[in-house]
Amino acid sequence: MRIIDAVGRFRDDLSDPPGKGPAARSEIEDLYRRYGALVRRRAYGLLGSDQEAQDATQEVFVRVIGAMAEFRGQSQPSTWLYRITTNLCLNRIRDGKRRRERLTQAAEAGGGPLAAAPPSPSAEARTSLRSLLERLPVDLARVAAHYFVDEMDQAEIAALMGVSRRTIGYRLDRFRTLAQAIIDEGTAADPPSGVPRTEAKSR
Amino acid sequence: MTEEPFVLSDAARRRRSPECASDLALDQLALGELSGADQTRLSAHLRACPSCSQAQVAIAASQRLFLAQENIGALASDALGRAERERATFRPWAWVTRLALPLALAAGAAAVVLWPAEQETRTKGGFSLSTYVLHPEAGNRGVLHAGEPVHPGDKLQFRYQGHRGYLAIVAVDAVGKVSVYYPPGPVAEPVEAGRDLRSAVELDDVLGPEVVVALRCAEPVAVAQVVAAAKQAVERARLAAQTPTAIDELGLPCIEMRQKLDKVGRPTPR
Repeated sequence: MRIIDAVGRFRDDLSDPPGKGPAARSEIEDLYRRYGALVRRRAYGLLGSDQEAQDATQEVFVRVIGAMAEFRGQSQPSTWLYRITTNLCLNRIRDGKRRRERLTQAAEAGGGPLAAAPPSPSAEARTSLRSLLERLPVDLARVAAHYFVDEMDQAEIAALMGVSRRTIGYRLDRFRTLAQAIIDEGTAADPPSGVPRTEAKSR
Repeated sequence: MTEEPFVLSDAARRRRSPECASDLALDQLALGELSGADQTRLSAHLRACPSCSQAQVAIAASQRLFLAQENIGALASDALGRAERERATFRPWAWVTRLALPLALAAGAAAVVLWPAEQETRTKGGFSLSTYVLHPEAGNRGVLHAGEPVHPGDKLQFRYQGHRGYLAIVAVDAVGKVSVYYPPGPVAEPVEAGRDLRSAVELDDVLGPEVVVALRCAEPVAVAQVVAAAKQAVERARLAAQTPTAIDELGLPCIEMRQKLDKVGRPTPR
C-alpha cells in the first residue's frame, strides 16, 4: 500500500502552467481548429443547448490549457477530450441553476449549429435521456452518456474509462434499472418526454 | 414488468451492428488517430453502412461549419485569458501549506493528548466517506460502488462528509497487515465536509478482502496509535479464530466507520 498525491477531482484537473505569448496563442488556435468542432458537437449532444455548448467548449479548452503537458502526451487526444467534455457537461446537467436555464432555452431552441451532428439518437430521445442523466448517479450517467449519446460499445467505454467491461455492463444495467424505476413510478418532477404516458403509468 | 421505454432501448441508438462505429471512432478516423488496421476496417464498414456513413458526413459538415462560423482567434484569446485568471486564483494546496507548521507541532504533542470522554465524541454525529477509484489506465475516477471489485494498482481517494474533526484511515488486508491510507503525515488531519482528502492510496498486490477503517476524532491523534490499535484488533480476531479482516472496534475514542473492499486480480485486456 502506498500513499500518493491526490489524483484530483478528475484527472483533467491536473494542471501545469499554460504558455504565454503568440506561440501559446497560435498553439491554442490550432487546437481549436482541430478539435473545436468535436468538443462543441459533443457538448451539444449532452446539453442540448447551443449557448451552453459554446460555454462548455470554452471551459474544456481552458482545462486543456491548464493541463497542456498531459494533453500533449495523449496518443489519442480525442479520447481525452471526450472524457473531460463528458465530465464537464454532466456536471452542468446536474447543476440546478443551469438546469432551470436549460429548460427555458430548450423551449426556445432550434437546430443550432449542431444541426449537422450525427443523426442519433432522436432529439426527443436525447431530451428524455438528459432528464435521466440529471437524476441518476454521475458515474452511471457517464457510462450512459457514452453508450447512448456517443454510440460507444461497452468495450470502448471500458477502455475510455479504464475499467473492466464487466464494470461497464454492471453500471449500464444499473442505470437502466434506476431509470426504469423513475419512469415507472413517476417520481420525477418533470417526467422525461418521449416516454409514452401509458407506459409510464402502466404499473 | 413494463416494456423498456424507447430512451433506454438499443433501438434509440444509431448503431445497428457490432461493426458500427461510435462517434469517437468516426472522430478519430477524421483526425487520423486510428491505427492502420482500424482505419482500414472502419473505412470498409463505412462503404457498406449507410447509417455510419451518414454520421461520418455529418461530423465532417459540423467541422466545416465550426471553422466557417467561429472566430478562432477570439476563442483562443478568451480561453487563454480565463486559464491565466484561474491559475492566478486557484491555489488548491495553500491551506495545506498553512497547516504544515501546526501539524508538525501537533505531531510532537499527540502522544500526550488526553482522549475526550467517549460519550462526548459520539454525540457529535456520524460521518461518511465517498470512495473514488482510479484505475491506472483511466482518465477519470469514478465512485466505487458496493460490491465492485478493486485491483492491485488502483488508486483510491476519499471525500469526507460530516462534522469537522481529525481523520485517520487504516486498512487491514487479507493476511492481517495494517496499512495507513490517510494521512500521509504522522497525525490525523483536520477535515471538513465536502472536501477531498489531500492524498490518495495505491493498492498493493495482496488479493482478497480488505477492511478500511476510518476514524474521526475530536483531537489530532497519532497515526501510530491508530495503527497499534488496529494491530491489536487483528490479534484479537486471530485469537478468536476469525479472519484478520473480521476485526472488532479499535477502541479509540473516535467515531469509527468501515468499508470492505474486495481486491481481485486485474482482468486481462481483451
